[in-house]
Amino acid sequence: MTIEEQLVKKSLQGDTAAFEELVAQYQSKIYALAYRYMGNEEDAYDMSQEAFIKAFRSLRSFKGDSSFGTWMYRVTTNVCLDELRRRKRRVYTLSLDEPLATKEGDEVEKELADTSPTADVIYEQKEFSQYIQSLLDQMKPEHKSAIILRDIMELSYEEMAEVLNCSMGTVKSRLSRAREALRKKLVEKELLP
Amino acid sequence: MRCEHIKELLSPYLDQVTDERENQLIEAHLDGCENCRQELKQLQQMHALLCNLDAPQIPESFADDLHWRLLKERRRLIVPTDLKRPRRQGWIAAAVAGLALAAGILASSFLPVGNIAHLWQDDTNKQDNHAKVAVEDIIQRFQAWRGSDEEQPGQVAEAPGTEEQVPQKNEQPVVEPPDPANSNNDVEEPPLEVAQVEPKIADVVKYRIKVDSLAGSVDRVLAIAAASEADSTVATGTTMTAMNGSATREVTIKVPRSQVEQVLAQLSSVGSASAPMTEQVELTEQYSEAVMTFEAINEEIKKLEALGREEDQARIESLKQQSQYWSNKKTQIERDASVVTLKVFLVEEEAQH
Repeated sequence: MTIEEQLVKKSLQGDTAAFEELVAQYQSKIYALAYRYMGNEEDAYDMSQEAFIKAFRSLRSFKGDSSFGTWMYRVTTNVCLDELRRRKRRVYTLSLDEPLATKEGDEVEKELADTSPTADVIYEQKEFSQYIQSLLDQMKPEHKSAIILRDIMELSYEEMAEVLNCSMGTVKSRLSRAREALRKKLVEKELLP
Repeated sequence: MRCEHIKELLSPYLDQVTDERENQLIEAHLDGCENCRQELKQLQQMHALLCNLDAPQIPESFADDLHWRLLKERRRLIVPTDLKRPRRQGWIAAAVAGLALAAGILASSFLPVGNIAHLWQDDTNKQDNHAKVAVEDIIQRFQAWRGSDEEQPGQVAEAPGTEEQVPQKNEQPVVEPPDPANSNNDVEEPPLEVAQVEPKIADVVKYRIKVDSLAGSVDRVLAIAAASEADSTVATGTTMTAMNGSATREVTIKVPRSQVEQVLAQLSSVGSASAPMTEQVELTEQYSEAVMTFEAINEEIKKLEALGREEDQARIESLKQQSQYWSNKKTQIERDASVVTLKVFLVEEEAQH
């Protein structure tokens, strides 16, 4: 039994100290993941707390066929997407990657009211990071997840399939479409050659 | 191969998850297609940009915050999952049923609550329909209650003010873990069964007695209380006046379980008594919370004391105060569950007609 498996077993018996050891190993990554989903530090904090509490509560459903870390990514992804869905019901956000349907039923490329900074400002690392975040926030949840998990968190396709609870084929096609949408936008802003 | 097909493969190609055959197709196409070459280059650059984004540092308070939330969560999870109402010895059932008959109330008639109905409704009993309880019903319920652990004294028992996590409701006395198959969320599971906490249930008996004179009757009730076991406590309420001019005085007596039958019998001689109504107040959840918090805080104190650091002193002091608070709460619940609370309503009715 690996140390991680032992810690999971102890946590299952209600040993919070054991669970906190697991938390210590993953908290930075989970926080970073939640930050990309939520787009700000405050929500990232709340959502990663929530994810760990939820994980502790439902540790029994962790069957050990993936690593605890991958399972934690899954719990966090679900917590964040649930929260975003909940909020979206209240605030309609424009989508970057979904064409807008007109009354006649035609789909037209969306003209976003572009308040984003210009290229030279974006090149400052911090602004760039924020700009990328604003683009991510405009994407469909499944495309956003794909970019975050693969390009930012650098998970493998197998891990992504585990986290997103879908097939490798689905991971491949979602990621491909998500990247295409983002690439177009960055080219348009002359952020890619 | 056409550009559209190749473009779909560029993303997996970048991640090196395309197979040998696909690689050959892609590379052959890229050799002759400036456009797709450019696009692959852009995807590579985008990937490089994304994986080098600066991530914010996790705040230092994160682990500490989570620590307390986990302790709280653990308490919540430690719900006594096979909690059943403890089997009663039958004393209270016998006493109540007997008195109901002694009071001369016909079976199936309702308690005459009328104008003083509101007096029965304290914060533990807000629904109107609880004011009327068929006496026959009470008797049957108590008989069933004595006869079987499975059957519960339905309306007679109340579990007021309980939080949503409290699994013990009258309608559903035996706690079943939620069926995982019914859960929408794929990571939700039934709570851990880590420990058991002894069920704590406080019995409250409400007893209404019509009397000729309030002052004299209160003294008699106090005397009866005083004559019973020494640790009985007596608290007198204020005089209330009902719509029809009748005055009511509430006397609360905390009686050890062994004395209840005797005290109820003696009280029935004070005046014309109605059937007593019993309520049960579920304290198990509160008790469990008090016990677990108390232990968690003490663990924390021990840990900090073992470290022996100067800067932790203030925190230890504050934890000790919290520990005292929970300890008192624990003791209070133990006391409440070990006695029966008799609420005696003495009603003096003015001559009406």
